[in-house]
This record gives sequence, structure tokens and C-alpha cells, in this order.
Amino acid sequence: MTGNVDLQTLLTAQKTGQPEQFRAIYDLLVDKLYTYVQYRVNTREAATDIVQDVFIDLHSALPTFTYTTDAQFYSFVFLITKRKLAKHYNESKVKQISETVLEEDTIAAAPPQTEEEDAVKRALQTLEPETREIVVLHHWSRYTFPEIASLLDMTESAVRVRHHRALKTLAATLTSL
Amino acid sequence: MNEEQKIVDALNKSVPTLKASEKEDLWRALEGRLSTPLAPIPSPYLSFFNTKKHMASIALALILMLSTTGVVAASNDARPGDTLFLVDQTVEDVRLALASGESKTKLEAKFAAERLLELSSILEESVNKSAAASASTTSSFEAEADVFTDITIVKVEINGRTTIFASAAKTREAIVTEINTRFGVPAATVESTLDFEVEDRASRGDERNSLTISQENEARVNDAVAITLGYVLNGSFGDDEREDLLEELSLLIDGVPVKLNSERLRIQDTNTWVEVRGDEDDSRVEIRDGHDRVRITEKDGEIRIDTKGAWINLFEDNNNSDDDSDDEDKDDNGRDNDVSFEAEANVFPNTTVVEVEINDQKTKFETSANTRDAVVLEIMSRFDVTRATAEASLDFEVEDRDNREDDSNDDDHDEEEDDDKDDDDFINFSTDLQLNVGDDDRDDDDN
Repeated sequence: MTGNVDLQTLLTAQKTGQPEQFRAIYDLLVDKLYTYVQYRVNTREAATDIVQDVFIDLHSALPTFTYTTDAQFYSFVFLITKRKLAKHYNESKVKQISETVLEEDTIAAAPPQTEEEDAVKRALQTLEPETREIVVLHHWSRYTFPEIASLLDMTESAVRVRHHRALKTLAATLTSL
Repeated sequence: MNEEQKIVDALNKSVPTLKASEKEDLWRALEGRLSTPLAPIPSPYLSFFNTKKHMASIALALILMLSTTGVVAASNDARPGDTLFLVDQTVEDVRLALASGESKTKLEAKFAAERLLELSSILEESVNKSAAASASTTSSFEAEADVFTDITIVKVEINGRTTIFASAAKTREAIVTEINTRFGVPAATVESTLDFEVEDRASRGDERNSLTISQENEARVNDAVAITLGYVLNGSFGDDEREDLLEELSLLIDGVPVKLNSERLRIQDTNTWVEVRGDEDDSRVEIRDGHDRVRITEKDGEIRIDTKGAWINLFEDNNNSDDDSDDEDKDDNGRDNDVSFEAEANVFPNTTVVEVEINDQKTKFETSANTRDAVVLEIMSRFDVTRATAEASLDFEVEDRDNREDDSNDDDHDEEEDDDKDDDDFINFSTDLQLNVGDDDRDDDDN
């Protein structure tokens, strides 16, 4: 994780037309994006394709983007991601795969995993979708609570409370498994 | 280690990640696509507008939405000459394009009426409202002084506001000083812009009582009149409606000293046309629809309105409507041109001087007739006019002094003198025998 990178500097440099700077942005975002997208779709191929599309869009949209805070930038990227996911689901629907089936299949179809990973993922499935999202964004995509609050348009305390409850639920589920 | 920490560890261990090599592959694939120029992708916040096929309906929805708010609503109050007037017109065009049949006609009538309202508010604003001019800025400044034998009339225009005032000053210097003290305009500015003219005659009434209108306002009023006329004539509403609107328009501009540019504007389609024409001394607006006609002329401050055909009764102040039938007959007999008829009789103890003007041709004769009736009969016998016409248009005056040389023989008088006399009480007569007794610009100081 390149947590120390000054996002604002990166974005400003990118804006002044230094293409190599986009690599830095890519490095900063790729893990966050991939983990989230991977959790939302059923195959690694689909996930990498979507991530690629998100970066393409981001690259084109950056010249018109005005930085205010990190959270605001992440929200911007998150919005692009959501849009790409929605497009992906739409296309999948055309292929006669219903979205519900797809979501349920998400974990099962994931690449080879350890027993513990499998358990964790099954436990995640028992959470409310929104709560699950918070857990994924925080522990996998490594977003801070204020950032998640911005991404999901919730208050920070609401995010914290839900996260806390989610961990309790997960612990109970995993123990019972 | 508590349960929660275990969970967090488990979660951290199960993060789906890409290997470094996979990230590198992904970047390379990405790089290849980034280098190829792509069509700009709009901000995701605007993704709603992404597809072009939706644009038309979105634009339409916006216009409809906005028509109750914002710019479009504001533009509805815009008048010809305002920046937003274009928006107003566009919105109206859209509304017209969406309407059809009866509702379209209704809309057209509504818009024409709106133009009239706007015109009236422009007139209210532009004409005769320039009494108090501000003295602070002099970014636009014009001054004109006409020194008449009896009075000096000074016109000052500051930043589009015109003030006309009378002064006793007779010399250029005195006028410059007066403007300087009244408006605080530097004497040098006044000196360089003052248009100073000495007239070898007395001022005329209309010069003294003239309505004041700035050039800018004048242009605006002219534009507004032309635009309004366009609406009135091009609307698909019925003739009744058109007549009402025309009447309103005529009443509005009646008496407004609008001097049109020397350009001539003519809008025509098949047998309907509008002509607006004007130069320094006279201007004319003529609207003709087949045999129906309204002609408004302005000459030396007089507004004269002639109507014909279906519009003959357009103006309620047209008296003598009884004569209409006779006159129509006369019209059919081939005298298609307008005839203006004016007569004046001055009865002096020694003689009676009758002055008759037909189509600007003045004829003067002396007669022994000294009663109104006798003069009327005399006019009827000399000129081919009906009794009613002669009766109605005759200005009969009995003087208690002898006829002077210049009374009976003043053809040599300069034209302005004659015009002044005409101002006293002009009566217009057209073949349609629409008699307009006009005394708006009456000059009562010249006798």
C-alpha cells in the first residue's frame, strides 16, 4: 500500500499533463479497486477487465476533476467503479445470468482458497449487503472510516457502529461454523 | 486475542489480491489503451447525459421544467431589446412548434398581446421620462441648442437620458455656461460637442412641447414596434383579433414622436404587407391586407391615421361614420387615391379669404360669402366635395379687422409658417372620408 503518497500532488501533476504520473495513481488505487471489484463479480477475468475500464475512464475524467479531499477523490473513483459494475451486470443479464444468482455465486466462484478464507467469505454472506460493503471496503480495500462514510454517503459514526456490529456478527458466525 | 481481532486477522488474510506480476500485466494492458486517444469520457456525475439519443428529450424536459423557473421565467418578462428577449422568443417558438390548430392560434394571439404589453411598457419608460438627468458621469454626452427668435431650446443627452429645456441664453458661450452649471459637465466637453444653431424664426409649438425621447430609446421603440407588427400580422388568428391588436398598437404609438430611420422596412406576403418608412420630417407605417388598409403617417409632429376597407372603423375617434357608405361608393367610382381635404375661411369685414388644401395642393380664393353656410356652398361649387365633407372640415373664423395684405396673399410665406397654421386645427380627409380631427399638436402660440 502506498498510503503515504500525497494524492493531491499526484493529481495536480497528472492534470498538468505528465502521463507517467498516472502510474502512481494506478499503484495507489489498483489494490483498493481490485479487491472491491473481485468481491462484487464472480471471476478474476471480469474483475481485471472492470478494473481496467475504471482506470481508462478515470484517466479521461481526471482533467476535469477538481481535488478537494482524498475522500472526495475516492468517492469519484468509487462512482466510476459502481457504474462499470452496473454495466457489467447489465451485460451479464443479457447473457441470461440473473443478478441475484450472480451475487450469490460471487464467493463460491472465487479462485482457490484456504478453508479459513472460505469460512470468512461464507460468514460475510450472512451480513446485510450494506454492512458487508463496509467490512469489505475497510478490511480489504483499506479505506478509512471517514472515506467509507464519503463513499457510501453515510455519517462516519454510522459506519463505525455498523462495522462494530458486523465484526460481532462475523465472530459469532465463524465460531458456530 | 479476542474474537474480533481474530475476525480482523481472518479478513486480512482472505483479501483477494493481485500478484505483483498480475498488476504489472494489468498496467501494461492499461497503458496500451491509455496511449490511444479516446473520446473524452464525461464525469460520472453527468453520466445521465451520456447517451445522445436521450439528449433531445432531456433538453425538452429541461425547457419545460425551466419554463416555470429560472432564466426562462425571467426571460418571459424580457422585452424587445433585452438580452433575454431572444430566450423568450425561442421558448415561444418551441411552444408554438409543440402546439397545433386552435391552441396554436391562441398562443399566437397571446404572444402578440404580450408584445403589445411589452411595447407599452417600453414606451412608458422611454418617452418623456428624462426630466432629471444625473450629473455624475459623462461617458456619453450630446448637446444641441436651437436659438429661435423668441426662445432658445437646448437638448442635452447624458448617458442616454435626454433633457430638453428652454433658456434665455442666445450665445454659444452663454449656453455652454448654462449646461455646465446645470449638469456639471466640463465646459470643454460641452464646447466640443455642442451643436449650435441659430434659426431666423420663432419656435413652433411642437418644438417647445415636444416629447423627449433619447436616440437609444427611439431605436428601441422602433424595434419594438417592428417586432410587434410582425407578431400581429403573422399570427394565424382571425381578422377580428388582428384588428383589435392593430387598433391597440395604433393607439399605443399614436402621439409618440418616433422618427424612424431613413431605412424602409417592408414585410410582405402575397397581398398583405407592412411598410415602415421614415426620414427626418415624416414617417409612415402602412399595413395593407388586400383592400383593407391602415396608414399612420407622422409629419411635422402630426399623427394622421387613415383607414380603409374592413379596418375603416378601427379608430373610434373617427367621427362622421355616417358618411362611410357614400364614400365607399365614391371609392368604387375609381378615385382610389387618398384625398386629404382641409378648408379654412377667414371672414373679414371687407372680404372672405378661403384656403382649401386638397392633397397638399393649396388653393386660395376670395369670396363675398360671409356666413359659414355660404362658404360651404362656395367650396362645394368650386371643388368636387360633398356638403358633409366641406361642412366637417371647414375652419370658419370671423375677424373683426380688415383683411391684411399677408392674409390674402401669403403664398410667399415660408413653408413653416404654413405648416404652423395647419397645426392650428388640422382636419384630414381621405377618399374613405375618414375624418380625423387632430389637435394633439396644436400650436396655440403662433397666432
